Amino acid sequence: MAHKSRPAKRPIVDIGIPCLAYQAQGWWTSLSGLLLSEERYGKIKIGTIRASSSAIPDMNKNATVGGKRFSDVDENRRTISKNFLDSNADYIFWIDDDTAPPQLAITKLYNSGHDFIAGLYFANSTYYPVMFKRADNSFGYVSIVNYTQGELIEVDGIGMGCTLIHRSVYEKILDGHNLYRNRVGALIPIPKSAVLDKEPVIPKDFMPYIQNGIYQEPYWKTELKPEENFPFYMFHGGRGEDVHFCELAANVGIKPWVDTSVLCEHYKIRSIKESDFIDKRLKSEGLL
Amino acid sequence: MKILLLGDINYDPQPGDDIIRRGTDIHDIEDNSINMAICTNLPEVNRSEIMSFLAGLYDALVPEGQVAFQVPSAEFAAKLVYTNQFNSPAMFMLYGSSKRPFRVCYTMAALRAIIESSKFQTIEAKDDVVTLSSGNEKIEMPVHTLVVRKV
Repeated sequence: MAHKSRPAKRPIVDIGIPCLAYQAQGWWTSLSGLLLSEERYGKIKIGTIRASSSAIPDMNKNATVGGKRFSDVDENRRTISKNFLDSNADYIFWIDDDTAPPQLAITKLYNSGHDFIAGLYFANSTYYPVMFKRADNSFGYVSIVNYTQGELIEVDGIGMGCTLIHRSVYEKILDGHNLYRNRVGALIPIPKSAVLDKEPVIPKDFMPYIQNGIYQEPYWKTELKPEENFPFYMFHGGRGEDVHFCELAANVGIKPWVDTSVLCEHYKIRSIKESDFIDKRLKSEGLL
Repeated sequence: MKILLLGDINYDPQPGDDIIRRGTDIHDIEDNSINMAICTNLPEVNRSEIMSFLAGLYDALVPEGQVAFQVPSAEFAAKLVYTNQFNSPAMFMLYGSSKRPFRVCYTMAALRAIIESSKFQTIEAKDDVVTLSSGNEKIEMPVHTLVVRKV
């Protein structure tokens, strides 16, 4: 029987899990606890659990069995995103197969009212929080390490290990970008506001070059082939596929938020928790 | 728009704003009447009265009405104490002033916990720095800013 505090009409949330062939035992326990708590007390309705797995340990990013592996693309996430958008679900909640959100994490993120919001977990080797701001020197991103416990803040980049996204974010990205192909056939989404071409003519023998520090390379406007999905998640320029998604969302005016009170465990050789990062921070400040 | 100001707040009203000022006693505010509230005096509310104060504030708001809370950062003040930098700003952050003594001070996590347990939903929770002035003296004080709404 549903808890009396639950609203009559609850948004449908699909669960997206790109995964390896195996997971830590503790992760399954946490996942069960999360789903059961949402079903029993939550304010959302669990829709479809969409898992897409790889047979080899390739960072759980590419479906290498039953699906074509596209260069630079997280095929697992892309397949899950396509199926989510084809469904009637309102949100998708991404979990990695090594991140364990707390009970009622989805409801807490949903309650914030933000369309693109994550909980917090910590990187394996550095213990740094997986939330980023653009680096001051404009090269890449840096972890936000000076946050206050309990903050709910807007950031530039997040991981997808505990992230709730409303379908409107995907739809705005689709509406706000044109698709191009480069010389090797890779799909590149470009924000419509950045397309200045009217009727471009590209010489057949055009060779890429750098002028005044700006790289010139021909892109051809294109459409998706039947076997392709929109490249929401790409590995490019050393960024993770999750940060690439954040950039697409930022192109259409949506930035991710992080609720630092939704704390996940990160299962690696052992479980990485916030206490690992806090210990490191206090030691670096001479307070421990 | 009907705006409730709780605490010593400078606010430049816009045309059409109806400003109401109160201290820690808000029992006379009509239910479902306030569009927005700003509250900087939460530390002045006695521990035993906090939940009824927040319940009254919740009831006073219209649905989807918002409150911005701002309180001194207890974490920052505690760090000053812990590192033997116990100065007058730290004293103020922990104890307030003789005119407005603090009864409770809050970490961000404690602030969120107590406010969310009063049915508010948090939209934003961040650290800010505010400048306080007394005569020619100015101090910069880290504060927690919490924006919440009534659902």
